[in-house]
Amino acid sequence: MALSIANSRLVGLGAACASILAMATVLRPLELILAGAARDRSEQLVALAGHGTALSVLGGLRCAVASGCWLQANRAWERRDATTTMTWLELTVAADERPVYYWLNGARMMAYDMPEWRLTNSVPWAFRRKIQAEYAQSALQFLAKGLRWHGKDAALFIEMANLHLRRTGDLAQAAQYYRQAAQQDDAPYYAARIHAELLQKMGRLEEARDWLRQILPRLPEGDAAARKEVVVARIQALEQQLAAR
Amino acid sequence: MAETPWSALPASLRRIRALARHTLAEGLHQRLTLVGVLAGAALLGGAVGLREFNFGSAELKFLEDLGLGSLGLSGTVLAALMTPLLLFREMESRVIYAVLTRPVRRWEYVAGKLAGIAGLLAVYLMALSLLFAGILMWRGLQLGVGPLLPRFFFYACAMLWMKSTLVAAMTMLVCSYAGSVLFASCAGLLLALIGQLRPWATGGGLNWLRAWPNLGVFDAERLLDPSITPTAAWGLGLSLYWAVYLLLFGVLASHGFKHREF
Repeated sequence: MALSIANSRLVGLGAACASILAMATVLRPLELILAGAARDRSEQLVALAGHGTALSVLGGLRCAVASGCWLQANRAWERRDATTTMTWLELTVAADERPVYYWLNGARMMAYDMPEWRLTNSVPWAFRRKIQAEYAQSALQFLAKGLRWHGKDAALFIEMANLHLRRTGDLAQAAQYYRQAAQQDDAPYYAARIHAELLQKMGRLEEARDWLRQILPRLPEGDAAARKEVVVARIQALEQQLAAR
Repeated sequence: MAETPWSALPASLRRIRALARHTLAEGLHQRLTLVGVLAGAALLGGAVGLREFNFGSAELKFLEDLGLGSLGLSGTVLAALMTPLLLFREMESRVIYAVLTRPVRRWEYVAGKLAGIAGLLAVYLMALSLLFAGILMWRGLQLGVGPLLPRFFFYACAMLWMKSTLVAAMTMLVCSYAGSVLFASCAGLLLALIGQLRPWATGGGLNWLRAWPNLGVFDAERLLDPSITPTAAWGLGLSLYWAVYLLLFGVLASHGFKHREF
């Protein structure tokens, strides 16, 4: 008797699980529409796991947790503790990947502040460059993660371009990132102009002229930030330079 | 004269309504509800206190984010704790025998309980939402910025209510098999956590979570994203998703309850 009751309960539980599974399969297309184009956030969960913050983030308190982590990162930054600062920065963006502020300032801390904590005035220039390049790579990886988690954003591309320009000295990469920044919806006008400027610096005059010609029709007339007259003048200067070759 | 399903429906609805009203009244008298309201209000008050510590976003957005998160969290916890508490209290006090010996079907009992808890959650979320709306308006006026649009605010509260009722239905399913309040509450919270983990399960070892409803679709913080505009079709889809799962869990809980021995 007891065995038959236990069996019927097991059958009931099995049927319940099967019906939930079947319903999940049926409702999957609707769920995909409702959830939108969901990004893979398992990386963020892994980053948060074991720090006691995952539950709060899942509960919807992401901005509060991220703010707390950011505060801790800044405290570690004041102590010039690079490892702890990096850990808290990673936790900050894992908790809330939405504000660009965390990505930009975190990357700046890594690229510009942390190398200085390790360097003194007496270190050789080559060693200085090596350390700076190491931290610049960390910052670039951090920003690349930002593009994956936060989504494509002109500010992130510009920061990556600036890092290549100021730290790694890779003009081609900097130009590439300025171009990507210029192609985003929220891009400032200067990103496209700097892309052309860098192409010019690398001797790729035709590419620079073509790029400026490409962006010129999209620049608004009345907007001072667009600096349409500057773009026109640069196209003319480039054409003169190319004709003189 | 034999009773047809259609002629029995009004009587069933009357019984469900009576049970729901009783559950709501009982829930409102529970100390846990008061604790929940106080905890929710404290979380909202904490959001105001924490506004100095927002770094990543504008103050009002931070408040909206934190406030909606607090409402969602407290609503979910209340749903997972209150459902077993009300059910098992009736079993311990043997009130359930008095109810079930009358012409009340077990599915009607489950539906009545669920409706009562849904009503309790609606009252709870409405009270806290009003407080939250007051806080937002107060800060909005001080800062000279318009807070979340009333339409979005309504959508946000409706989404939080849907989420917490779904958690209540999940916990009800556990209650139909469980033997103690503690087990049912913990299992309810765990199931809510699994549902909340669903948006993160897009790869790796978390794929198995896809078998469970995605509570992430009810996250009101999504409405704060300016790129998302809630349309009527989206609201309809969300309501359908909620209703289907609520019905499924309700039916499964009724089935479990039907075969339960008291």
